[in-house]
Amino acid sequence: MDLPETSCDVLVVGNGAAGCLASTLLAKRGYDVCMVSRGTTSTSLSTSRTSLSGVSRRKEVTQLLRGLGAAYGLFGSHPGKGEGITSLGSVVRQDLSSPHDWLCTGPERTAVLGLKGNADLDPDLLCRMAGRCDSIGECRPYWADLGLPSSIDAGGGPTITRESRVAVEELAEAISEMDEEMVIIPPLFLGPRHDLALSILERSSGRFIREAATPLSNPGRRLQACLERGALDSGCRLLGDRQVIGSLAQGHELREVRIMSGLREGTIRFGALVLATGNIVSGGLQVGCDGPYDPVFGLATDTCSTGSLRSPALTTALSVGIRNREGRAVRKDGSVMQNVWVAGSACPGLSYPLGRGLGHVASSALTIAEMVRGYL
Amino acid sequence: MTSRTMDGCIKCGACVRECPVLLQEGQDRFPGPRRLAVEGPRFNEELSALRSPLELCTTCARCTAACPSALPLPEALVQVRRLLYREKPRPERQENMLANIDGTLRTVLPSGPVTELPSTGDVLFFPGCIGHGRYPEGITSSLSLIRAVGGRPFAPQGWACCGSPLEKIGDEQRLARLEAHNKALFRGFDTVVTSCPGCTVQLRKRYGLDPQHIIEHIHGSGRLRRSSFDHGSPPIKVALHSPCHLARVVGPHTLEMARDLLDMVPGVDVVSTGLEDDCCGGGGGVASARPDVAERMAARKVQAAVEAGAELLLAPCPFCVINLGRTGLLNVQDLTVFLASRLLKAEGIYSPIP
Ligand SMILES: Cc1cc2nc3c(=O)[nH]c(=O)nc-3n(C[C@H](O)[C@H](O)[C@H](O)COP(=O)(O)OP(=O)(O)OC[C@H]3O[C@@H](n4cnc5c(N)ncnc54)[C@H](O)[C@@H]3O)c2cc1C
Repeated sequence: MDLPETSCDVLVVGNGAAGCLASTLLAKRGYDVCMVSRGTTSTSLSTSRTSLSGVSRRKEVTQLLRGLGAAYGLFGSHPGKGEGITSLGSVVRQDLSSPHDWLCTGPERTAVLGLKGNADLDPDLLCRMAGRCDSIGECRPYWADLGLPSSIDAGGGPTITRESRVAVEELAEAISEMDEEMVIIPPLFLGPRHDLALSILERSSGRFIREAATPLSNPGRRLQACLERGALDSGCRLLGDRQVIGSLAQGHELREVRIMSGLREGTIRFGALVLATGNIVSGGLQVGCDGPYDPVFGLATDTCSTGSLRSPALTTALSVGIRNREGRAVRKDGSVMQNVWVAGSACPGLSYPLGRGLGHVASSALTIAEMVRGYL
Repeated sequence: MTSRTMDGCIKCGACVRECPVLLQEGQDRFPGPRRLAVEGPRFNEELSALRSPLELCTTCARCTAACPSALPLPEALVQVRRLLYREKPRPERQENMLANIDGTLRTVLPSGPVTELPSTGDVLFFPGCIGHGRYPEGITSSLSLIRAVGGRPFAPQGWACCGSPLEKIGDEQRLARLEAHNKALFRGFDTVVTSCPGCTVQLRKRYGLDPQHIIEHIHGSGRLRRSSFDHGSPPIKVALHSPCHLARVVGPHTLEMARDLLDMVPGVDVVSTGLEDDCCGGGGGVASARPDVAERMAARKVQAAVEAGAELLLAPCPFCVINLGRTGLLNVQDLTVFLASRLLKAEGIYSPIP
């Protein structure tokens, strides 16, 4: 049994930051855009903090992200605000973030509150690391055992959910015993109103409440939800939990792909294809005996090293991306696919943590969306 | 497979974050897929120490869907389970199931009257043990729907269990016997329709057939439309449960089809509970090995449906219907039962449910 055939103007493969932003921009222009997603994106594993240093088209990227993030309370800070500290104690540069992010520009004395059972923030570790860093003031660790789950949905309505209200009350009570003016907590709240939950906590505790930046945790999921909502609101169709498994070329163009939904397969036809499939982390590229390769489209790869990590193997793997000429994908025989573009961390040199993160990925999506428009 | 699973893990914790059993029961009782399928075997822990947590995996595959490397964690976990059962006596419920198979070729003995199935027709309908033995309304409704889209359903006399529960405990001998038995009965028929997602998957993966779940069959026929349904029925608020083995193994398109079908029925308002995608708790042998856990998980879902204002909870899977129904908090029906009850009673296409 085959799935019914579908078609669209633009098919976007991958629903990470690059895929969602490219889809949003193209759907807003009135194109029929379909986005295919499979599994967890790197975007949802990230800390969601965005650095704009070295990003071309900084202003447009800022505008775009701010517009999409407004309802989520994301990207509210002023560009160029400075550095934040992650839950592991490393300092990350960032320009765009939520107003509740912990940036090193706050008051002098800070409390770091760890919650028993929540692996997102270890206050002892963090305070030790912060002690070595001049730019951060005095930090003091606290622990509380409140029995809270590690994520709590604050909802998307005018008020926060009952569950998050209870959590806010318990946190406020624990915080009332501290002397510091600023309190860092692990990120707990999910959903568009996560920022409202934090504002209520600020009001009821009388302290500045900031969240630690944690990868593999709620901030990345919020970013993912926010960008995905943006794409859907602009009219893009999302085919969730489906995987592109093959394609059919006609000369120098691709006209259709095969897609897998569980036990079934089907065909999607399109005018233009955007590959926002990510790097080895999210499976857009796989690692074989000869290094990373593109497992689906048989496209050529390039290596472009923008930095280096302690592990040479990982540096090599993350330096690889799909070869492209002015955004258009290149096949192994060197021919350029006329209607296939590569966006985001699938491009060589756009992988985090080699110095390029969400800012560059967003800028790449913006450029590719314009190129696709020019082609259509 | 286990070694691929172990090597492919990037330790991101996405599976731990998503696992519904872990969220419900806590880390102490169920350490989650990574620990059981990846780290447990790697560090050669005493398998017997993992016995009780291993029994709690419902094989819902939320972890695989969340895994950036798409690792087959439930399969890996089931493999660890198989090793475990090889050295220890099986749980009593499993022994009963095996005895049933040896006696009747089916896993459950009917607990009440069963729906009689025609023995000739042009669409082979595979009833499955659970539907046949525990949920005859689901069989009747499937037959009505197949007729409504123009087919003449039948089931071959003496059909045997598809073997899915045996796959989970690695009983190769019995599996091969059931497969050979069924294959002989199925010969010559291209369309096999099932109502239990577990059977759909088993007939596809093990037998190499191209079975259709009843939802795929009736939606794919393109013959149902708004006018097929009764406009005179009272309006109703329903919630739709998304069965794990249907949504994540047969494929996410099935739930889109289910919604599409519900949209056709006049007067139906599908409310959102926020927990549609969560496992009912009954899969993977948990309903029989640990009914307390299965019931707690079901109650959470049903409660959410009640709070969302649903008057009826629908699930396109007989197994989920039974587990969700256990809670007694809300009326639970198979989606096919609901759809069949709303079909326009036109001559020739509709045979009313007895
Ligand atoms: C742990 C971690 C922490 C990070 N922290 C930061 C940070 O603090 N700041 C920062 O700026 N950046 C950070 N990053 C990097 C940032 O997350 C990435 O640069 C960015 O998310 C890449 O987005 P993308 O859209 O290119 O790819 P992704 O978000 O990876 O999306 C690609 C998607 O395509 C899907 N896909 C691939 N192949 C197929 C196929 N055949 N069919 C269907 N779908 C397919 C994948 O499943 C995936 O969902 C971090 C990354 C990680 C992993």
